Amino acid sequence: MKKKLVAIILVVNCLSALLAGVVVYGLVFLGGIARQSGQESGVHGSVNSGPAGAGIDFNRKTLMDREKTMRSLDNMKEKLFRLKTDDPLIYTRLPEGEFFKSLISYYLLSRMMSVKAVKLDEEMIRGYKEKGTLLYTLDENYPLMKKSIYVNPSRRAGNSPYIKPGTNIIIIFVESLSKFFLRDDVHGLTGLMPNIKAMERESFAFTDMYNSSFPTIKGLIAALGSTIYLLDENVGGTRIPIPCRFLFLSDIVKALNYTTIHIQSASERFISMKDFFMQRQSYDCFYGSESLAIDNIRNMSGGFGVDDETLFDYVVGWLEKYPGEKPLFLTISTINSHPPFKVKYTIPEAGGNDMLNALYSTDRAFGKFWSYFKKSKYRNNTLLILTADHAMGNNKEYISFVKQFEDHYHPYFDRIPCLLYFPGGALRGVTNNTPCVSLDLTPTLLDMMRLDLANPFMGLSIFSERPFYERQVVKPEEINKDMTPEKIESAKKLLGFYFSLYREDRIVPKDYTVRFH
Amino acid sequence: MKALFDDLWQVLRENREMVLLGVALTMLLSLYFIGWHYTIITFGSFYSVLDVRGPFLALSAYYLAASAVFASIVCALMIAVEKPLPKKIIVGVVMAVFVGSEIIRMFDWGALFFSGMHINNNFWAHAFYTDGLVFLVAKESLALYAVFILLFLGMLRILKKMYAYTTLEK
Repeated sequence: MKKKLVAIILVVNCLSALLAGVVVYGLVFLGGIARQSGQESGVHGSVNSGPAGAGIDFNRKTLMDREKTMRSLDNMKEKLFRLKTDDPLIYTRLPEGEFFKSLISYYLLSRMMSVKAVKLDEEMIRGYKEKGTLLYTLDENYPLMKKSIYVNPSRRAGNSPYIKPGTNIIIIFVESLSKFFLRDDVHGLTGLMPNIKAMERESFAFTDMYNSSFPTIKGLIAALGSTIYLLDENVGGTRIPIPCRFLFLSDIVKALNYTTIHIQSASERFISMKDFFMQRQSYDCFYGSESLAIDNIRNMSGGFGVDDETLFDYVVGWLEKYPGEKPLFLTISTINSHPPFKVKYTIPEAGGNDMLNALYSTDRAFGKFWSYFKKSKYRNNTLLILTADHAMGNNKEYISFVKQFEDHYHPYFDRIPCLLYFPGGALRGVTNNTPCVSLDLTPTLLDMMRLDLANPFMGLSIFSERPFYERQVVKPEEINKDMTPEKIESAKKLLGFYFSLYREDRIVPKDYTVRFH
Repeated sequence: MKALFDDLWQVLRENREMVLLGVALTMLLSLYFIGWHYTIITFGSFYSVLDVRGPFLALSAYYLAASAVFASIVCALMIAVEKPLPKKIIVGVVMAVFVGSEIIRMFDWGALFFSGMHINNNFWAHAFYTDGLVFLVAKESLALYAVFILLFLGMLRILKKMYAYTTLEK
């Protein structure tokens, strides 16, 4: 009796599943027919149509109707754009599988991976040298270390702007600020970033700088430490505490008796950022959302960290209280334009796009700081730099905005602003159009301060040496193109090289101290 | 042969409620599994199910087969086990597995919806400090909780009825 019942239940369950399968198949089939007939009758293609229906039928009837032709072209453009930007199969993976795979990878693999020192071969070393990066010139164990910030010291440009050591330095890293957002001549949103545009008008600018790294922590390491942090995401990537020490600009100015401070909207606990900055990179103080939010707990909602207005209010308060006995090196990171976007103010022209509203909110917050700065005791003795940690990522809001300007669609890696407001507003409106990357920021500042020292930098002074080395920009879609087995081996070797440097803390020698030539 | 079919028909008629509970369990699991992918594609992506119809249909077939097998195993265990305590333990284990899957799918749905990525290293890095909590109180998350609570209650109701039916029958 029991066996019979179980057999019946099994059969009935299977039949019901089969019936449900027929229903699901039927619905999908009918949906496909409805879509096809919609396309055939010239109805504007559904916004959701994609790769499976990417073929466009330009029959005579369609071509004779200008309106239909234009609709079909728009439809095709939309589909091709989506093909380039997203992978729909991500939504058909088993969530439980992704969960356990990532859990094991994050908690076990990254801690179990053994490290084997990798030495690059002569050809690779030569390839790096041709791009302006010297390897293995000082110490085999610290291959990035070299004796000067110049590949060829005779190229040192004597006419670059001069920053007197002892001048206060403030660097603002605006989250995901692709330069495109400042191009209101292209996108037409003139009110999107009025305050940063105002600073642009009153500043010196590097007009052709690309970000070298993505995401934020890599961007900060590239700009402040002129080094690529290329830890593979499969072994923790940027999601584990950074295991090594770099040579940051903060380490260098600390030797010049600067006070070093970092203030950011995001968490100070994320990948132990506070410890990394304070214990390894010579920062005296570090304030993240946990510190800033003590009095501003209501600003924690709606995204990571505190609102940028809270951040800049805090910065202004801190600057007001700073006694000024020692020169100041202050770095600031914003957060509003990091997904999930934190919108405090909205601009009607944004059409409800949270990314644009978040950028506008950051600009408003910066505007408060900018107004303060121009009237403050700092305006004549401070170099104020505004740049981005990296370009905007490939989020839905970015895609929906930039698809109207497809030539400017460069997610992750794009031109970023680099504005330098010199003390007293000197060099306002002057531009340098040299193609450069964010890795070049620290060597360039040292060049302008006329400082030279042994270093592991991968960037070059934009004034003295970048013009001699062509900047290479690889588009994300080209990264895996034409990958031969040799190229794959070479890429693996390179990743292994970097991995061993980070894991064994071999960027800067442990006994390294800043000594100027 | 006819005698066998008559006999099976008799068993089916006498245990109609149990058979229907088995079908209900199969359907609820299928709805849970397939609905997860359908809603994330519809609400969290640029695409429609039609854009991924091939993989989606294959996945649906896999889920339907898995649901039928899983529901049949549960029914078989409830019928085969006679003592109430082991039966309660079976219900507990099934509910625990279901809740575990629900929690994973709830977070993964949110991760896909808010960041366009499955649960990955990024998720684990952000998971255990206050900033990550912002996702938990978004209105989409609240809707997700409601759906998962309903599914949980549905599953519990079916299993309780199965328990009552097989115990009463005894």
